[in-house]
Amino acid sequence: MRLSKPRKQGQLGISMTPMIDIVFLLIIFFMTVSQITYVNDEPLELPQLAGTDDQETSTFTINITSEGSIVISGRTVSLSETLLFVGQELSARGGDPSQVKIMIRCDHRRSSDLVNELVRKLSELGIRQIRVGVQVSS
Amino acid sequence: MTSMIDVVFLLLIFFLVTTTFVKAERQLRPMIQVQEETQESSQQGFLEPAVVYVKRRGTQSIFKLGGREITAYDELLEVLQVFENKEDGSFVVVDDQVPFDMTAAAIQACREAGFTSVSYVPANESP
Repeated sequence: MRLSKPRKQGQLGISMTPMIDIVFLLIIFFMTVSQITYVNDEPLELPQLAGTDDQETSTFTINITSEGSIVISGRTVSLSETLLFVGQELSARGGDPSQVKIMIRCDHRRSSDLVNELVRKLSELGIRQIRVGVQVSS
Repeated sequence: MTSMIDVVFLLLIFFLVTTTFVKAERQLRPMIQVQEETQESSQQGFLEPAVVYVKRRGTQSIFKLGGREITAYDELLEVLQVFENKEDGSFVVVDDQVPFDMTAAAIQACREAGFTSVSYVPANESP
């Protein structure tokens, strides 16, 4: 069985095999890279700082956009809903506030009013520490 | 072969367009307190703890440390490094109107200056 047509003598043909190899490698690369996104993390412009530690896995991530919306797991929620979720998380962990690791990712252009309000409410719930997300400057 | 190459190219273009690279992120870990507790604890220590106020002055935001008003991060860091009682921790009192950039910078400066703990304190709302 002959799959390819016999090439006429003296005619130059483009070899497809290496090109397909490269294209497949590129596809695999982009497929892999595009998976490395975290569902809980909204695309935000965080403050550009060195930070103190590498990000640990938090139990609860609160995203605050530059417009002042609170986004949790891709859903825009109100402040009272946020506190309700934190309360649920707290009771799911036996009511121990030290077990709830809250990460606040706030856009650097946003004023601190929402974070302040959140901190006041979290303090009432007995939470004593938060994590603040920063972006390492490239 | 031709149709397969067509599909492969379409896939490649799709992934090229949709891919967004994740930027490297780190974290700061401030303690949180409310205003009343800070005032109590500041009276307990022998030396006054470092309290950085992040305030709004007209159109710009400033750091206020004691009577000193600071605008630059490096200057704030320099002043904080002079404090001797690093074990007592520091407090960052934040006004509602300041951009979060400044708040995070104040927490970062306290940790970089060597304070063992940094407390985030929301400023009392003005009446």
